[in-house]
Amino acid sequence: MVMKKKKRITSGIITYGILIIALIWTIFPVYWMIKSSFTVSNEMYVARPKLFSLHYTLENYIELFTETHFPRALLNSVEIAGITTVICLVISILGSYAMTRLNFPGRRFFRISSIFSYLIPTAVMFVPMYVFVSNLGFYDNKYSLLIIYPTTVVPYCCYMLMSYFEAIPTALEEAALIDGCTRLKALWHIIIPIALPGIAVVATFAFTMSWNEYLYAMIMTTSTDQQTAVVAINSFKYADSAIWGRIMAASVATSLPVTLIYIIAQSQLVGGKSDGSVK
Amino acid sequence: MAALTKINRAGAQTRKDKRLGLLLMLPVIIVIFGVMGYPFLNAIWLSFTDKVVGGEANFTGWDNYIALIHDDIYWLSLKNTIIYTVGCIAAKLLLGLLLAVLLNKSIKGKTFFRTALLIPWAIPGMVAATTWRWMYDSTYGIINSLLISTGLTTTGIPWLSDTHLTLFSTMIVNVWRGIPFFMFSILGALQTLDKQQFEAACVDGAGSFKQFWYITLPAISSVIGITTLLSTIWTFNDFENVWLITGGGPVYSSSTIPTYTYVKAFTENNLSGAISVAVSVIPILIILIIIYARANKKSS
Amino acid sequence: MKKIGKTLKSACVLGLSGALLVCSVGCSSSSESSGGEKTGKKQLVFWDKSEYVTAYNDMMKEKVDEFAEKYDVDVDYVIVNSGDLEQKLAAAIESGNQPDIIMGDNTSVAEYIASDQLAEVSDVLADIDLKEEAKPYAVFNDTEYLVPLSLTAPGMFARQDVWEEHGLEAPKTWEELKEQAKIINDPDNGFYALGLPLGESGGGDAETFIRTIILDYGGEVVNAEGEVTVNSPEVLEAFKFIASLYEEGLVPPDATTWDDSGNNSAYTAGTVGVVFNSGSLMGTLKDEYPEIWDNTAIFDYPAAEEGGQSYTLGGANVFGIFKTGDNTETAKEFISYFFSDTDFYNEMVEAIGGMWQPVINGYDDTEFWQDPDNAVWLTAASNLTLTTAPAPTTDTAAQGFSNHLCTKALQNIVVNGMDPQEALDGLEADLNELYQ
Repeated sequence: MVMKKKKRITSGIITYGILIIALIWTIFPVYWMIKSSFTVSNEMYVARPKLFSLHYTLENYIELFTETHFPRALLNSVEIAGITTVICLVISILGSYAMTRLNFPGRRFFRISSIFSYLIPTAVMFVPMYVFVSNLGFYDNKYSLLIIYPTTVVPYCCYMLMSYFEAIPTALEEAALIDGCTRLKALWHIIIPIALPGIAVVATFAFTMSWNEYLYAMIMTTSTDQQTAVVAINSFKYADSAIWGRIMAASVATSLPVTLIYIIAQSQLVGGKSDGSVK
Repeated sequence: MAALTKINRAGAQTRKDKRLGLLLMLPVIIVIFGVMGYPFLNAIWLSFTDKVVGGEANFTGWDNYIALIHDDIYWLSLKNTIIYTVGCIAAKLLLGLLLAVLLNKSIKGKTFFRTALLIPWAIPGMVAATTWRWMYDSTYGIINSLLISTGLTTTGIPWLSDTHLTLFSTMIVNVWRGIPFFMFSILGALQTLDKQQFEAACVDGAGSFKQFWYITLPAISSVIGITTLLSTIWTFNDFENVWLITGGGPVYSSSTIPTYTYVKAFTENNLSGAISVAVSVIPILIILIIIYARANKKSS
Repeated sequence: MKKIGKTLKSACVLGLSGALLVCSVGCSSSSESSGGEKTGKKQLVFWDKSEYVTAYNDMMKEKVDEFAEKYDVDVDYVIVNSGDLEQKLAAAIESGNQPDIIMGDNTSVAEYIASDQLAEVSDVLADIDLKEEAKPYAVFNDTEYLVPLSLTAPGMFARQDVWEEHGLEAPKTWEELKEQAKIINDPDNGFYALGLPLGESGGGDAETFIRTIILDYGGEVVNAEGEVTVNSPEVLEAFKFIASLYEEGLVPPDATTWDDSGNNSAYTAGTVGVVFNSGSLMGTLKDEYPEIWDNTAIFDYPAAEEGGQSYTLGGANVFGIFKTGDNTETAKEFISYFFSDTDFYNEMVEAIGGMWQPVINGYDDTEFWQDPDNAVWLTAASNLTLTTAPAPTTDTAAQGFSNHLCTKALQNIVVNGMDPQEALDGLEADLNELYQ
């Protein structure tokens, strides 16, 4: 008995030890980013910086939100990421349902090949893609991203949703179908409610992916009123000087919304499937 | 699968399902194949031409690919990309798995740890790279400053200038940002596992490692598989991280396929050569997907 | 029930609209150009460089609006981050959406001459009273393609306090600078003597510096006849000299990866004793690091030997006009309009605070340029040499510069420990391939 208790204590120490190391490793860069954003400009460049600043200032944030186009860019990001998420969820729920529950020609092919769109690095695709999208009439227009983002977000959502849908026993549906319920009704009344926590997770990721995307956003939006937040951050780097305080403040402001969503959705994110009435 | 055939016994239902299936898939097909298809085929075509930015595209056959065979930097970039991908994935998988297992225990402060450890995934990749670049700096970087003040080194570690280290430095950042993805994917899977199974195993006297190896791991292997595959492809094609931290340098020491592509396209203006670099690695990615498809088939 | 109907309906709408989009590309891939002709009103798209000193973009915007009003033109004035310009232009050119005017560094704008994108501007230049030293920046492949907006001469920023502390005088030769560097170097306290970048990215600070030393040592990368003459004892000596600065630890180790802001930030942090930079650094120092600015002197460039020829290599900001755009004539009208108000022009250049020097005659004796702080830059500008000199200014020369070939060769020596002669052979081969 004593042995067992001892063992438990040791394992507890190891567990917490690892978690605390992981915590420091995870949080430190975030701390450094936040710290830098509150640092006065002439203290940014100091050889052998210290962990804490001597003077803190709100100046970087005040300038960022009153003198630059950043607030507008933030709103653009909300708009683009929000709409992308909704579009992608609708498309992916329908598609994933079809790929997991319905037998149609090419099902296997689609299941495997939807990952196709990840194959070529964005670094190359973006010129042909730009030509394609601007031929559709989208030129210097943030809405062009609504066409592009689904190509990477939808496959991801489908993969996740398919695994959630597969975890739901078909028995639940069968009963409903025998009672004369249509497929779509079954999807709406049975599958979606059960998979809702999973869908929330997927929505969070879809939002994050579109919120964080840089290359396409940079190439597709030129005017300041079209830029997304991530692109706006980079506009504070000039040819041979960078306003680091402002860049870091903008970085914090850009990271904050998604981080907050994660914190709120945390239990869903990891709890995901188990909370559903799978049993 | 069995359930599916049971439902489909009625022929009318099967036909209806077929039509409905295609109808529901249509948006996915349009998004993936419609939007990606044309630019993709266009890219493949360009890789067989002598296209430069703003120039005419003339068909040149395999010239671009033959040039790659003799291009040392191409092979170096490919080698770096493989090291980068394999190293990052291994680290992310092992650490993500470890953290997921620890966080699945009933411990105090679980919610706090889970939340905090998720944060890197919420930070835009571009921001993460910029911040780490800033921390690595030999003069103003906090990392070397801390190492020196704790007496671990006297001159600091040349994270960004030692050609043996640069690739590794970029990998650290990729791992930092990528662990949470593995962690919560695996944690999600762990939580769906049936507790009773473990209790039974415990009664049987199976040790905790044995239990993990024989029961837990197989049960979450499909989630691990999907997570690893997705992350492998992302990591393989990861551009921003390397580009913003080292620019692929110094002297190509951290050059990867995506950064080399970019340099070829926009510094050298050689669009067709650039695309041929990217297209040349597609077979590798396709092999990965086939492996995944096989594994997927087996498990289901 | 209703909800499902809605979901389905929206799926169908999405699907259909997607299908339509795809079809429309197939059918009308080239019918959509940058548009606007329908309205009859003249159009102009101007991609301007974003400047650290916001006064520039504000004043240019003012001028653009004035022009738009007077000539009844729809002007789209867009400020583009210089780091993004190459990729954005590549994509824009490929899709036929290129702007009508761009402003940028002469070497980066010149890249679009090679792909036959830019219009000749002799007619515009005819009306501008360009200074002699600005004229070379307009010509490319023996044709006038670029309209200089301002010169950006570099200077040698040095920490006067450090020099005085060690009782040193401004160096006259590069070797002397190196000897002084050894004295003031103090890496244990995070202070390095020389902030010399050796990274490839950006506007080529490293490439410019290396080519300066090569010229001072009597070498030529490519001679005036356009022959590759880099493999010479003079260049070898120059390479060995530069490499020794890194090998002897006089430069911060990270400098091999610095972008163009690396040396600036090192200097503003007070961690290096000398940097070679355009006047932009002066602006930053005055605004944000006055205590460092007070201790800064702008030294004359040293030479290879005392009394020897000392070159100052530098670039210019230039306008390029796209001939492939729809509004080439309007673009030319705008440039002429802009330069017709020379007082405004000078006011703009002065507002940027010394880092830009005027390209037109007649403003050298203003109060601003008589101020010794600023006069230094005007003098430097009047002796400015093209970064590709003495090679003829061709697109090949520009490509050689923007591919950072000399920087790569030096990196090979410094970072990979390659033998200098071997690195030089490699550089020669690369250049020959370019010039073949």
